[in-house]
Amino acid sequence: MAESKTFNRVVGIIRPYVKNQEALAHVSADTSILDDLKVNSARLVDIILEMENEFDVELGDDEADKVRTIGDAVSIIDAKTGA
Amino acid sequence: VIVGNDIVDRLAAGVPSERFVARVLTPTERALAAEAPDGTAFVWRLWAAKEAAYKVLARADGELPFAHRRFHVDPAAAVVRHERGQVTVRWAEDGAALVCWAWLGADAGPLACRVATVEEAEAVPYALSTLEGAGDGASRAVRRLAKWLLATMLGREPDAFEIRRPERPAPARGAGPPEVWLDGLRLEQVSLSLAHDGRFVSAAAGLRGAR
Repeated sequence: MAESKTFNRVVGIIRPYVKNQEALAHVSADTSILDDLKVNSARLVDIILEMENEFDVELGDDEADKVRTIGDAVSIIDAKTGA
Repeated sequence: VIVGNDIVDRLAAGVPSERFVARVLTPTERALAAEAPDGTAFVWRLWAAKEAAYKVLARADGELPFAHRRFHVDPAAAVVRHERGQVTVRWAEDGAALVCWAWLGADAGPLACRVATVEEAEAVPYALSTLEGAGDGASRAVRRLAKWLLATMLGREPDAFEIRRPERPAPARGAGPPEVWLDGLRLEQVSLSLAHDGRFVSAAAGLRGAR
């Protein structure tokens, strides 16, 4: 997953919201957006909205709630876009 | 009493976008926000209430989905309604710090909430265990603030308390709510909630079964 185009685009969306930029150097599918990258919950909503724009998809409330890690986001987007 | 809290650093939070507001507020809440003298402050008050209420209800169900629009804030009644229960909330503002604390039911019982800047709380000279000190500056700061709060409520030395956040059992992921330990024993009767955002930290504690 770390090599996928979706993964890299998701990391690019998250990057501006990450307080600890050093943590981005070691991201993987299992990286928690809130706990590992220290993104706060309000900014996570902004990230969900940006992912909707970037990938032209809509994430329902329950789907958005499942986005805890970068891998979660990639899996949901890939499922929606058929990637 | 089961407590929850949330804090917003208004300067760091900025002005929420229209899509953000549409994503997290119900139509009724959006109408109220449109009429509010300071719409931005109003949105963040509702946001903090939803976050604090979620922390309360998630104590009973760690897998409770957090869909903001399913948490209905009634600012006039100072309650948050959800299909799982009604949570009472209170707000306080000090400069850019907006804090909301929440509890189940109408009677808070013994409950306390404190707010500090990260720098203020980090300067408190309380010892942290290895686990407590493993987080970032805000995590350490809010634990120091919590120890001060617990010491005040329970009449013990701050260093006697340990704040733990054990990983939740599978299939849940991530750390569970904070636990309070004293002299190596978990204090089941103490409910503790921690929050940090931007420059601020906040801790709220209540005593279960005490009214």
